[in-house]
Amino acid sequence: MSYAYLFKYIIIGDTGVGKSCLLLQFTDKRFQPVHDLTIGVEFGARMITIDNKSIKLQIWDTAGQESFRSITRSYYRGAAGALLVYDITRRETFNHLASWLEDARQHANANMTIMLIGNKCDLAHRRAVSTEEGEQFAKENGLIFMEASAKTAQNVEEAFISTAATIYKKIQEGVFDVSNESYGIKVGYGGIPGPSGGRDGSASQAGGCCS
Amino acid sequence: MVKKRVPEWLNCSLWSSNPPLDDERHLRYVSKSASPTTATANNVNPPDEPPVPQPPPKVVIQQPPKPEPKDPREDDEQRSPSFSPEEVSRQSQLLTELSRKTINMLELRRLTSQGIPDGARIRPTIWKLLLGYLPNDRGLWASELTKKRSQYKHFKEDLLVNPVSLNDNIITFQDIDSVNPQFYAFRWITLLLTQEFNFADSLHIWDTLLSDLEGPQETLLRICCAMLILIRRRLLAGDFTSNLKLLQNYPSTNISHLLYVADKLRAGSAG
Repeated sequence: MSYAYLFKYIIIGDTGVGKSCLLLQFTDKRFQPVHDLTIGVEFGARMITIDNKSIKLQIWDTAGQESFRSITRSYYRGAAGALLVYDITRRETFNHLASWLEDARQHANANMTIMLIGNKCDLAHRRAVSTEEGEQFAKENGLIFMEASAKTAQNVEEAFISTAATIYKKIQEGVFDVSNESYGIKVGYGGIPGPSGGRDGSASQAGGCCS
Repeated sequence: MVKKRVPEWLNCSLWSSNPPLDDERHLRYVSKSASPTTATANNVNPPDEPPVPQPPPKVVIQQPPKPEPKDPREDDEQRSPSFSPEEVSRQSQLLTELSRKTINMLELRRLTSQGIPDGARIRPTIWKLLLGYLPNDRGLWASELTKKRSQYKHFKEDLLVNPVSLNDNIITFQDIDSVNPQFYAFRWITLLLTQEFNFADSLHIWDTLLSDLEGPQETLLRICCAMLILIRRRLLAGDFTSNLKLLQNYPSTNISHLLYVADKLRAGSAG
């Protein structure tokens, strides 16, 4: 399936905040209350449309456990977007955001777009981090912010898509050299012809949608 | 090519057939005393052991098992609802072997490598023997178990804390459309394939892993290679996305055939 651009994403954050569930909700439109612990990395992909252009999102969902941290770090390089996730019902996952950001700043390219997501916003009665605190942290660190729920799907599409819209806007503004794949962006068939034409545009399998 | 850079944790003494029982690591683990629950559990004839609530026997077989009976209500009946004559024979051979005062490990390995027909619930005991968790002298089992149970906690902590380094030499398909083996083989190796297959199939794979004379690591890598070989046509036809999804959600397969292919990959074996 052809695409104008391919964006690579990484999903990061503490263990148990719902990274894999956000991915599953976005790619498969379903919620799995009991999910296997992610070991290493899980992969997902989906096509979206921005500005009438097909964009393929290639998403790397990482393990949040501390013992996998060094492996997780190896996935920052070559990501155009990051979803940094915390759990609004567990204060410590919010407190750890700074250390995740530090990893991202150190290992990702400087122009990576970061979306901060306060997940599990359906659990309002157990909330331990206010929306304002999330907003404040995002503002201080130059992140986009949304609260979302992988369970109800609230804001899940929006989070992935508005991250892509931001990356797309940066491309239009000429922030990236899109021929350099280390920015996590690939130009495909049907996009602006570039030196790096889409390698897997010739996919024989039906589509980038996961199933 | 497989020999170098085996993940360090796979070299732990627990994996070898004859763990050096007297080395420092062993002594270090022993130093922490046993928890009260382990104190009486290992007596060959526990006088007043509290009833164990769960059916899977935590303890060693107390009597030399008798060869004849086989209990049809075994755990893995979804795999083999009825035993073939060959399995029945293998099971009675295993039971005979287990009943010896000194168990012949070579013979035990040979019998186990084809899978343990676990009608008599002998798998736990056989795995302990293969892992060197129990010595082949039955007379020492009770005292060994007391020691080992207190070591377990510390071993587990070590295993989880030490970062696992991935042997990226294993995969022959590593250049297919830039699918790095780390993307899928990390989990295969870290969890010894337990997340890739159902429970019954995982048991069968572990029978083979633990019984192989070349050790679990070599066998595991051969099985990983066999997994790739079995789906090579789909891999060669697929793009990056479909290949990665395929590898991270390995399709259900005939485990006996998989293990057969893996065995064919042995160095020196034709094919």
